[in-house]
Amino acid sequence: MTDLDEIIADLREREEFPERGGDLSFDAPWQARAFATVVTLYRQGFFEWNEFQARLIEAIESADTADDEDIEDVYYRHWLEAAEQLLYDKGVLRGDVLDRRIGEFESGERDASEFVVGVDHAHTHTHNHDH
Amino acid sequence: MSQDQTPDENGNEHPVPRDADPQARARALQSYLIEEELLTTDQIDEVMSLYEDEIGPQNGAEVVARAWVDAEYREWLLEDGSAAIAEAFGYTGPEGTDIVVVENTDDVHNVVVCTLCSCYPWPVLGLPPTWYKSPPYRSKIVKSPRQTLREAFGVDVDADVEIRVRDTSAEVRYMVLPRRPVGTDGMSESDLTALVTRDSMIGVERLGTKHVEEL
Repeated sequence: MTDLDEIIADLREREEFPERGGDLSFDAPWQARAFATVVTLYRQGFFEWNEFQARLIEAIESADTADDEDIEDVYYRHWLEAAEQLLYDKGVLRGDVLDRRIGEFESGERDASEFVVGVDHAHTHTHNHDH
Repeated sequence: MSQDQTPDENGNEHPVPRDADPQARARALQSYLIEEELLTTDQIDEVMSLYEDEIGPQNGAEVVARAWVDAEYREWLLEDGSAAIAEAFGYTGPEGTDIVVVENTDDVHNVVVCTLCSCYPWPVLGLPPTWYKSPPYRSKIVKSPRQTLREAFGVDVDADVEIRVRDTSAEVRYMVLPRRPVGTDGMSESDLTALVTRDSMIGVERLGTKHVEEL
């Protein structure tokens, strides 16, 4: 078993400093997209923050994640699960309309360019971008 | 994606598929909300730029520096963190209700964790770093805080200093008010702000044992 302190220390080393400002820890554009969509839904009054928090905790507790899965991937995957669940509970999402759409993105039938002007805009905010 | 998962007609207890590609899920959710005119791209972009440019540990640093130079503010901050932060600086938003500020002293060192998920006081610290969200940190800092601080963060806390692990919950967000570094008498509030680090406000760094020259 790997020493836990080592894991924590490794994670810290991999972090990009400086730590002030612009330190959003997104590893991929979809993570930024998931984050921003959820916060925007909250700001627009679709739910109270604690309602989202409760679903997030449920998603984390019921998860069976592989030990080697990337922490940010897992974290934002749980965000998406929590957000979807909350929107179904609220009746904002109904039936299989979202499932079908997910399938269309997975199969390439739809792609990112079709719905946003300034395609995949979120990528300009990730660490992969040169500041 | 297979269509053999029949969604529940009344929309309740919908079995959220767990195996879908997260990128496809994120795109599907956003594009659906925009097409249905529930959200706009401008609103989403605004959130991104807010968290990119305006919300981060620099906010908490301003709060800490104010508390270091202004005893009355410090008292207010420790009594009602959310109000003292929102009313004096205007820092609010999700994860911003019920911020409790805990003060480090000569005898007590505070360190913050969220064992349930990764609750974190966004308005003052921005989004949490990756290690804060990691299962090892979330379990280890609670079980053996002194050892974890030493081995994972290189922070030695003297045996006679009590370590209080603050487990952030869905109701409360903790922020640490670190001690003021040695040799900073007479420094301006804005110069002090520059000395305050994110890690010191989580409690995995100690400022009070350091001289300003070391920072």
